[in-house]
Amino acid sequence: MVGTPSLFRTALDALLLRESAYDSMRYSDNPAWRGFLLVAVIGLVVAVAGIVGAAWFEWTAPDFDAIQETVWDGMVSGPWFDELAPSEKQEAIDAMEFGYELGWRIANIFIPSIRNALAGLLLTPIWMIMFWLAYGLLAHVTARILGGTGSLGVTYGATALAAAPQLLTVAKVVPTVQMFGVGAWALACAFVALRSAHGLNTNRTFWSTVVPYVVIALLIAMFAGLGALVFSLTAGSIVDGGLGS
Amino acid sequence: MTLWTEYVSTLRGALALRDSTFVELRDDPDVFARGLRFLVITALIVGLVLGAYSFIIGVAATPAEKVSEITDAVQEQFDRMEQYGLWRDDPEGYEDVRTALDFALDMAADIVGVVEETTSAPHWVVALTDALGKVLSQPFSWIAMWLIWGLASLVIAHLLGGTATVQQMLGTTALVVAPHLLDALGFIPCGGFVLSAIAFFWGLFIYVKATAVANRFEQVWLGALAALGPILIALLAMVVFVPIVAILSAIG
Repeated sequence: MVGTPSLFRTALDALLLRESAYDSMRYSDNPAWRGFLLVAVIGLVVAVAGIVGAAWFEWTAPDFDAIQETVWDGMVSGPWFDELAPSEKQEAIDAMEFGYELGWRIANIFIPSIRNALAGLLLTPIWMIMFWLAYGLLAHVTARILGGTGSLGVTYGATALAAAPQLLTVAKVVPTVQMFGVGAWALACAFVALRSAHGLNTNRTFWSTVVPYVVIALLIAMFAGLGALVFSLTAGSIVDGGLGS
Repeated sequence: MTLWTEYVSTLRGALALRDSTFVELRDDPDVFARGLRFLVITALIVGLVLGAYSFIIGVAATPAEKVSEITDAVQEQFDRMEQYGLWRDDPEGYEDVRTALDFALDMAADIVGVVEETTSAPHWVVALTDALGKVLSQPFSWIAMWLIWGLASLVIAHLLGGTATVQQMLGTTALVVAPHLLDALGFIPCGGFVLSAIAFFWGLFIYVKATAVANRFEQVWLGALAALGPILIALLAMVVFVPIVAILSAIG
């Protein structure tokens, strides 16, 4: 059984692109299980930091419901409403209200809140593990096609170390911090991990690292497109129904 | 060597484009960690100055006072435009713009009022949080640029026969941030921009040198090609794709 301090040491070394971390993962008894633990622990740390950040945000941010109400009151009392005929006013307000409410609902998903952050305690590790499983599999297949020699277990163990840069998101305990570069850092870690796991040259390792990201991005874009299509059809029927009644 | 002595020595060597500084860093077994440390310390120095400035500005006036200042400035500009006769031939247009402007300024004042009323934390805590955010965001914004540019340059360098590992490439090119210490003076009106421009071009020379040293290129122009390659490719992509997209949209 791998102890937590050792996992953190490994994560820190992986973050600093130290080959020793990647080699130790490759030569461990059960690299895939060790990798799973690493990703899960990092996911939990990120989620806990998110809760602290959300609490700080709620303390220092205004009440967004009150802002929503104030902006709405302002919009419906604007000078442009005076130019509308009384019979058209209600119809215009209804049409505007739908879009306005929808916009705020979407915005509320991204506004940090303790409730969302608590959900992240479960969802963040699950999401990270799912991504790791998908990325590891795709990277393994790509690397093997390009002549890699590592086993699937070793690939999973090594690519788990690409989750190490996520540890940097603990900086989000200060809610105004803008995080950049974590994805690029993860890419660098994945590059070193795949080279260590499969012994490929630089160019082949590069493609083994990048191709899975491209495939995952395409899949996400495809699902997002499908989701948007379904949503627009549903929203369209709601608007038609609402205005019709 | 203490952390600070090492930092100052590396800073001087990088700014002077001294060969020994670049070679010694490249050959360090922990080159990535050293480069990262240099970048983070530089970014934190810049972030601390900008954060302190932001905090002083933030504490000096409440949001309502700031909005009031902006409102006065906008009103003054509008009145001046009227005095210059901009609306002489269009009194209706003047009334429309005046009504819309008054409405927008009233609404901004209302929103700021709600922000002040409903924020639990004292004003200085909000200003401190904003300033802390600026300090801690500085390293991240630099890290993103450094990593993306570094990885792209590494691929090009290898195509040109370079031998740098990821760690050597990223660790050595971290020296690019050395002249960006000048960014700490970015809050100075006009002068800050000039200093940032100087830092950018100085940094470009350091980046070319670092790329050449990391990849053991004997000709500097190979380093320049690898270092500037990502920018050239991005420009080329724009030159090729923008007309194609324009033609396709025109046809469509």
